[in-house]
Amino acid sequence: MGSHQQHTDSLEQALTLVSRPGGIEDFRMSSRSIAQNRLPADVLFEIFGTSQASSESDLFRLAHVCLAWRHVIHEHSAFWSTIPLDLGKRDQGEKAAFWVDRAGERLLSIKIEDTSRPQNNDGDRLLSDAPLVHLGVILRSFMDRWTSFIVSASPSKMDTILRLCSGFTPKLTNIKITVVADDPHVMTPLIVPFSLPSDHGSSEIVVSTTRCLPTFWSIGRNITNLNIDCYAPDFQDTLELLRACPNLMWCSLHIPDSEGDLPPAWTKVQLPHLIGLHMLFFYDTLGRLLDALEVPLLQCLIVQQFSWDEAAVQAFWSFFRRCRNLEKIYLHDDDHNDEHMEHGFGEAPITLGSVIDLDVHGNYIAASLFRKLSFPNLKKLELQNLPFDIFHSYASLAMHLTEISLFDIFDIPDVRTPTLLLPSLTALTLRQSSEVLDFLTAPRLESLSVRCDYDKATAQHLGKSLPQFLRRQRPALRSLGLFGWDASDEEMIGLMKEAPSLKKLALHGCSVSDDVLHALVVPLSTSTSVDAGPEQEISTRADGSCLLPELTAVILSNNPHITPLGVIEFLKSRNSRSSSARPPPHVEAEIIFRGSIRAELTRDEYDTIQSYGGISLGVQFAPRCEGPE
Amino acid sequence: MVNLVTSDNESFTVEKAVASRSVLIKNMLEDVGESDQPIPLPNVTASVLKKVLEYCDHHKNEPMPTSEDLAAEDTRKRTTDIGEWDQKFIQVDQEMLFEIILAANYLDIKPLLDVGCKTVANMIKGKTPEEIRKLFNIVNDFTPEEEAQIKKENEWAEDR
Repeated sequence: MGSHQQHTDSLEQALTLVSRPGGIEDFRMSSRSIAQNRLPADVLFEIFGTSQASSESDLFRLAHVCLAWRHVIHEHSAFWSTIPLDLGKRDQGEKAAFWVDRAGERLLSIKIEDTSRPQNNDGDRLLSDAPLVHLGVILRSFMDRWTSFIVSASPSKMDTILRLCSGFTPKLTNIKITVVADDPHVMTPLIVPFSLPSDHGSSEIVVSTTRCLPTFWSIGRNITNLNIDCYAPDFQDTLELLRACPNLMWCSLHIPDSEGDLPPAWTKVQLPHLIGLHMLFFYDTLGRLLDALEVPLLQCLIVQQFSWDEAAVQAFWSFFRRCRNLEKIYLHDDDHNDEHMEHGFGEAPITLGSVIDLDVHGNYIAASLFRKLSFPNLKKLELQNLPFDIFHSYASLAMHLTEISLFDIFDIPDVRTPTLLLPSLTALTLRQSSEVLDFLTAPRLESLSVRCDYDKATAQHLGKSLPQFLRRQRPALRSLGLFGWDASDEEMIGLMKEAPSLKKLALHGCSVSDDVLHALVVPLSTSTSVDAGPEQEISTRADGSCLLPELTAVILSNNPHITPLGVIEFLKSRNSRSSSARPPPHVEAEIIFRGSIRAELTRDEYDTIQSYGGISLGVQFAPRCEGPE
Repeated sequence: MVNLVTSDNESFTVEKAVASRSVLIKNMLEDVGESDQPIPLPNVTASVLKKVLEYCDHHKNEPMPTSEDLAAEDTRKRTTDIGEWDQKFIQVDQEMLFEIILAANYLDIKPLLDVGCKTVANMIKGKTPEEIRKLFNIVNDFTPEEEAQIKKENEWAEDR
């Protein structure tokens, strides 16, 4: 009986279809469409879920394809929990209501953008108010289900929406507000009128705002992560903002050129839970803000784009004296203060025993501060543009240093003896500071990277000091990177002999030639027959071994005297199938011939190099066409 | 070895590790224990099963997704990225693509179902409803009332 009914239904459906204009063709097509007729709802759900993840608007379009698809999309409330709205489009209030209706009882994410053409303020208001008010009223009706509120709009539209949406938002965990204005220096004071019931628990709210300085109602106490990007607010407003968020754990402030002074009577801003503070573009107010904060649990301080001056030195010193839980300090100035005189700084020394990661871009003025600080438990140290004695004193004290990066270290003494033992050091990076090598003994060093940046004096010095350094401690060096080193082939080959355990070799902008790669070729006795021509015949080393037998990765970029032929010879010996019982490991390579005397790679050379597998070339050829053209 | 019989009566003998990529077959094998009995797969044809087994063979050494993995996937933002081998594998005609999806769904091979669904999602990305209908030979079967509602919904995407 059921089967009979099904047939009848099918026939009726078919008749309906064929009776429409063009229906016969439609009927023929429908009989073929698996996507419409045979895919079960749960499979369609999977497909639409993936589509929704890549584009919210795609899902909306998919509901307009056919009845089966529309049913699946409309019946699953999960598809409707994010409400994408555009203030530049029509009837967004109606759209919001439609979405909420389908979202059932789910929590809701509101995403509002504005793709309309910017208007001047008056025109903006005239055009926008009525539909905006409608939208605001709709949005307010389900604020208790908001979990995320993301809005990007002009100052006047933002103001209208927020004034309409005042109320309880007990489920809200994410707020992102971006004020869109033609003038990037615009700062809009903005009241965020969301609040929490008095008995609300300890939910955590993440807030990010751009081009506005928000004022929070009762949600302030639940904000744990605050990111403010705003031009020139009054300094006291900044402090009040922080005061309204006493449970902050992470705070990022990008507030250039705050104006105004501290009032005559003020109390410090207590942020007892703050563990991370990021400050960007603080110049005149750096000291005032650091002075104003009481952050006893701070673990991570990041300050970028500031100026090292006496006030900054004093501010950091007194801040460090109060923050004894700091683990990471990252201070990078704007690099504009080229002061060559050190200032006397008479404050008492401070030991910061909890700091394990220190990264400082300094100058002579900064040096006066860092001479007063000691970090006995450092594990990672990066210093740039600071005198050698500061590095020396830090490295002498911190016995657990595992990673050191030194850039542009100055005032390196002429008399150099290996006085610094670094028993835990595994990674060392040097730029314009290679003379430091003469002072170091690092028996566990695994990775070494040296940048000469084409400086002749550095290059000459490195030719002597680097082999001596490697010979001195015989570290099991696994990775060596050399940048802009004007070295001879003999120097490079000599260096490789001192590092027999290398697995990774990187040469960038070095002056060496194919002869270095030739020296790395595996001798014939351990590889298969190599059909090189007589002029490319591979020489077998007298002792039958090869240089760097454990090599597995090579990076060659912009070395002008290394050519495709040299690379092919090297890769052929390393990556061809070998009949040897102990073939060398396969070598993966990244190669860029830019700047080479043979910059043009032929199609055949490209194919040959690619055939060795695991090779990345900084050039693309279209695939060859198969068969006759 | 496991013997699988398709809807068109073809028989495939495959390693247990390969067949067990299908949760359906894995459960059947656990239920019947050691047995030479062929396992009938009435919803899968030979040509499709051959393709499915190619996938299972390639991925046989990978860990099976756990229920925690599947639950995490639901909460994580899904992507349309497909692995290199899977991309080549799924380059088939449209009918075969949907048959593979149906088979993966029936046989409960979630990773293969994902590959199929992502492929379809990529195919429809950015296309208008009309373009999608054309692509998949789908008939516009909305009633006039539904068409009117859709027209209204489309106005929400029009500039003010």
